[in-house]
Amino acid sequence: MEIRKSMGRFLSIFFIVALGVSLFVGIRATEPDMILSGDAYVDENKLMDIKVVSTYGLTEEDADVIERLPAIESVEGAYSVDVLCEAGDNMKVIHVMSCMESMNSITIAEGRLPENENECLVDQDFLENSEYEIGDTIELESGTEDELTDTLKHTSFEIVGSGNSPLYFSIDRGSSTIGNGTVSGFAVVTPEAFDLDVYTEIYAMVKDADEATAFTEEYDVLVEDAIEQIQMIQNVRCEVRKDELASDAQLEIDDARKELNSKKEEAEKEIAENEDKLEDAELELKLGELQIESAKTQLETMKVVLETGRTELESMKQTYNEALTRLKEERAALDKEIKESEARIEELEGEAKEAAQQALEPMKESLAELDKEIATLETDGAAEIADYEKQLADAETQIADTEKEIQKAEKELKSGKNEIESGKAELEDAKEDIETQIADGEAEIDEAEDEIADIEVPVWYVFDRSSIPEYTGYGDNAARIAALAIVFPSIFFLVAALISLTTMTRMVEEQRVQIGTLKALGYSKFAIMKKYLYYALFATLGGSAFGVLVGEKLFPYVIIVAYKVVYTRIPHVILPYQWGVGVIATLIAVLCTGVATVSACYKELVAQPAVLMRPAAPQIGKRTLIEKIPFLWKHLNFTWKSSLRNLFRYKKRFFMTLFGIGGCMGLLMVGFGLRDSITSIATYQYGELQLYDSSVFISEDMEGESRAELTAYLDRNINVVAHMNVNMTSITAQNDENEVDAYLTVIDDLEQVEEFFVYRDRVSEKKFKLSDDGVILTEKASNMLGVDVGDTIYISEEGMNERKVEVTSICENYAGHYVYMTSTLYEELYEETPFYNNLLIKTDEELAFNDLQKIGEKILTYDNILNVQYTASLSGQLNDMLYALDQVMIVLIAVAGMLSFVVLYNLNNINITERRRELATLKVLGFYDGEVATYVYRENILLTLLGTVVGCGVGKFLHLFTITTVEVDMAMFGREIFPISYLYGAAFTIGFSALVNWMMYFKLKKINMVESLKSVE
Amino acid sequence: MDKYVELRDVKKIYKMGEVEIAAANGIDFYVNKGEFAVVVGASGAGKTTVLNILGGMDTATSGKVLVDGENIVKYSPKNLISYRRDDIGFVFQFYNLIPNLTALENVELALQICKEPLDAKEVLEEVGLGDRINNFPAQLSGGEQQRVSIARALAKNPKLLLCDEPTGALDYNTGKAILKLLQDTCRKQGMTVILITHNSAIAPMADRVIHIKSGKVSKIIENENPIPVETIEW
Repeated sequence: MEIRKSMGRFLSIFFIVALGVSLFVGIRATEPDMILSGDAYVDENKLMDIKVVSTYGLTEEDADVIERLPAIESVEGAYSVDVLCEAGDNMKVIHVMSCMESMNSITIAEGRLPENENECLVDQDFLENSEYEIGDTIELESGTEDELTDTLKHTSFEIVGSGNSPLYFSIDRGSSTIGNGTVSGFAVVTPEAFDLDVYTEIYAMVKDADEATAFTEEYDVLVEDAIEQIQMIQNVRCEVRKDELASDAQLEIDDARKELNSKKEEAEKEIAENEDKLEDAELELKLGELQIESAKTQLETMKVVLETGRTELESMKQTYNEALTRLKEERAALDKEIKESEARIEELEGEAKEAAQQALEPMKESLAELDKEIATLETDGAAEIADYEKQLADAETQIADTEKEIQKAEKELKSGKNEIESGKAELEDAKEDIETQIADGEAEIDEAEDEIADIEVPVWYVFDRSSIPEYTGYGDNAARIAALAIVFPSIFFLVAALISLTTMTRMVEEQRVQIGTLKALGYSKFAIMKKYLYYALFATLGGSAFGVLVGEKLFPYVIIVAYKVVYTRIPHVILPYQWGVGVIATLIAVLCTGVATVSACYKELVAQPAVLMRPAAPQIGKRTLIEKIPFLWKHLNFTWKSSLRNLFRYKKRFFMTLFGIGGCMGLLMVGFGLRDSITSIATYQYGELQLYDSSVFISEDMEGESRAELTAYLDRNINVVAHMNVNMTSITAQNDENEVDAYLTVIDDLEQVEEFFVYRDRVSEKKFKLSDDGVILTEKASNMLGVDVGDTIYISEEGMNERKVEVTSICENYAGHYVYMTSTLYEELYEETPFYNNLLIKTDEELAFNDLQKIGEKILTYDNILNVQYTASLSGQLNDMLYALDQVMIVLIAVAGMLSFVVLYNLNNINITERRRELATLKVLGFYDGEVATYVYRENILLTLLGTVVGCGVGKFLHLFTITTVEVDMAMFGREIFPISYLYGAAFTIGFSALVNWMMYFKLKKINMVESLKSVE
Repeated sequence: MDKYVELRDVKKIYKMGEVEIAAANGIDFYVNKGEFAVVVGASGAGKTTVLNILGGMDTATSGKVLVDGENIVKYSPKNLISYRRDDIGFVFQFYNLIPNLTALENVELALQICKEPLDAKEVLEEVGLGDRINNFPAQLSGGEQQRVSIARALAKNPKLLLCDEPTGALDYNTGKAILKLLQDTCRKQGMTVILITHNSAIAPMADRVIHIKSGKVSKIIENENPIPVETIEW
């Protein structure tokens, strides 16, 4: 029926309503859809509700006690430790955790869970970005002074699988106190792989919490209650734990003391024994000396005896020789006598001779006797002498032997003496050693005892899921998107109303004769209007239904998929139809088009039938304002003039198109502007306001000496341009009405501060100086507090140490909130010098991130460095957001395109049908197709340009609205849209308009010139 | 005199599925230069078809249409537009003025596209609208609007002035005045005028009267002594 005849018109209403409704329901439904998707994920993986950690670990008993709390469903203890592992050239931080049975289920991507002590499952994201593969062995190192084996039984694990943990909601893996300070991934091992006595954390599930939808108030209340219950028992348990620790330590000390004592005794005994032995040896030595002494005396006597023997031998030899000489002399005398006698005898003869001879005989006999005597003397004497000599020689050898022996004995004695000496020295040393050992032991024991005295009451930290990186962000994102559901669709509804108005007006005008006839026949106004109302209603309901069906699926899907760039591991996109939202949207749409239709019909319906039967008097051509500027007007040709007059004559169309195109441009501006705003955070915050590249958190334990070393290292490093000490403390800044969590940054070196921080006004770019009179507050914080320059604020640390300061300036800032203060002011306020717990480092701009990380790693090798943060990695997170935004951009561009399409199509459609005769006439007059087209297009083009200009304003407003709605408390998005974005937006808008015009060209070509011959309807 | 406009066996056949309907079934006639010709016929006789073909708004299925020696049947659509632009002045039954332009501007609109236009103001003065040139069509009476329409056609300085029932929407006296204007234009400027009407009463004012019946020329009367419009009564 009517619809088929005017398909274009019907579709215009249909589509604009569909667009408005789908956008409205789509954005509205995104929040619950995101929440449901998230909830399904956390429920499925049994994500913990509460995590309890303690400064001294948690015991089995702690777990039992927590489990007995009424609000707690179940608990499970777990172990975890941050370790380092090699990945490429860098040391990456890995969070090793024990595999759990009842919660935080690991989703296995590949392989299997660890079964043995030396197997592990590795973070899928980490594995994909590393050179490790399943089956490889991963070597772990401790990032602290302690041995890794204190915590883990093994230091190398075989990778048996990869997977994901619900504890990591997004790509963010949290931070660490070791390595470069950023956790790169996690690894799951069996609980047995840990060598710990106590749990490092206890996870708990809250009763009924899995039924409550996560991210909702209902869930939060349940968990809050449970946390309160845990906090109630926490003090008791902490005391118990402290006592336990103390008594354990005491026991150990006692053992140590006992051991020390027994050791002492043993050592003493041993020393005594050794001393005895030494004394014995000395005694023996003495005896040996004595023996040598007596041997020497003996030797002396022997020597004397030998001497006397020798003299005796001499005298013997003398006697012997004397006797021999004497005998020889006697014999010689005798012999001479004999010879003389013989000679005389010779002279004598005979008797004489005989007598003489006889007389000679005795003589001869005595000579013989003498000879004999001499002979005996010679042999005997010689033998005797030889004998004696031999005896003497013997005695000499004996003496030599004895001397040798004595010498040997003396040598032995000497070495014995030496031995004893060294033995004595050793003994002395040993004694000293033992004494120091004992002293050390005692000192240690003393120290341990002191430590026991120092054991503080453990502190429990009870976390809910917000401790999971990005978990809260997910919920916040969902809530923020819902806030957009009002403004954006309202543009569409406004345009929908305008489209209905123009379309229905045109329709009613076309059918005025018919209406007049019906009226003349006696139909009531309402009966006639019904037809048009039904027409509009039909289009609206159709559009709404279509919009609800498509919108509730499409937009949440796109938005959630966009967010999945950050929340990589949420597998589900749950998109149930939410009919309530659909009904609301439909009602709004019906209201818009209904009111428009009634107002379009009304004018004609009140008119008299007779008037309606006549063709409508043509609208009087009106002169426009521009005609009053003859200079301009004269230079316009006639189609231009006509177009301009048309433009201002049909106000409804004018505004419809203006809003439509303006809305299209506005949407594009929002999209491009959002990009700009997020880019601004990184470019302004880290490029123009906070100029440091890395910040190093230092523990208060760091000693001046090592700090000086660190400073010296930084001074030496040529890549480090500057470094500065600041104190950064988490504080609450508040005034009477509001409060904001911020960082108090105390600046030490006012000369250097400009190298690191730029304090300036966002709008005027005027720079401020930090002074001792007050603080500089960041812009967002000042907005949240509602304070201005000159107002006072209170700074407190968890409600303590409240200090009053004046705000001297408010500076541009995008990420986080800061209160900047001079150290002089700090000292004045707190009456102490601040500890500079943060070291800001600015490096060469050319320095590659890898090299910066190397500096960071080097810094981390110093003791008492808590964390090193890199500005670049903060920027990186923002880039992820930008990437997610690209998907949203596509949707926005598509929606904007459709909006401009519907509006321009409708405008053209009306214009062309209404001006059929006019256009046909122009053709008859000999206008070329192109000339006819430009005549029609001129209006579109003018409206597009005008709409684009209006859209810039609309876009600026929408953009500001969107970012103030979307932005997190902790950050301020850039407020500016970059000029290039205006160009992009305009290019798209004009492009869309050109597309519609191009399509219309064919419709124009089809206009038959014969139309010109027809009569006016 | 030359045959300035000549139709030779012009046929226009519409195909409606299997059935062929001949709107013009072999029309033959000619008009000399400077003649005032009237094409007369009842509704559906085929006179509009003749007008469409002559006006370059439609093409003949077969036959020849010679205008100043050119056969426009062979023209491409683009050539036809040029033909309309440069050679034809068209006067519509319902004036077809652009509502948003004043009388003067409506004339000028047509002039901006042709080669040797006349002065718009002068033409308007000639048609007797010198004092209404800045009025919008809605502010003019039907006769005045038709005068603007004629002025628009004349100002283009065409070879041929085609008029489609120019008096159809006008009252008797106004219609007469318009016809007089057309006749005067023809006489004074030597303009070739072809007027299409169902009113055979005005035939005596023409130099040549062509009767059309069932898509064919039934008779052609050459009127040696056309009478002035004022003397015709109907």
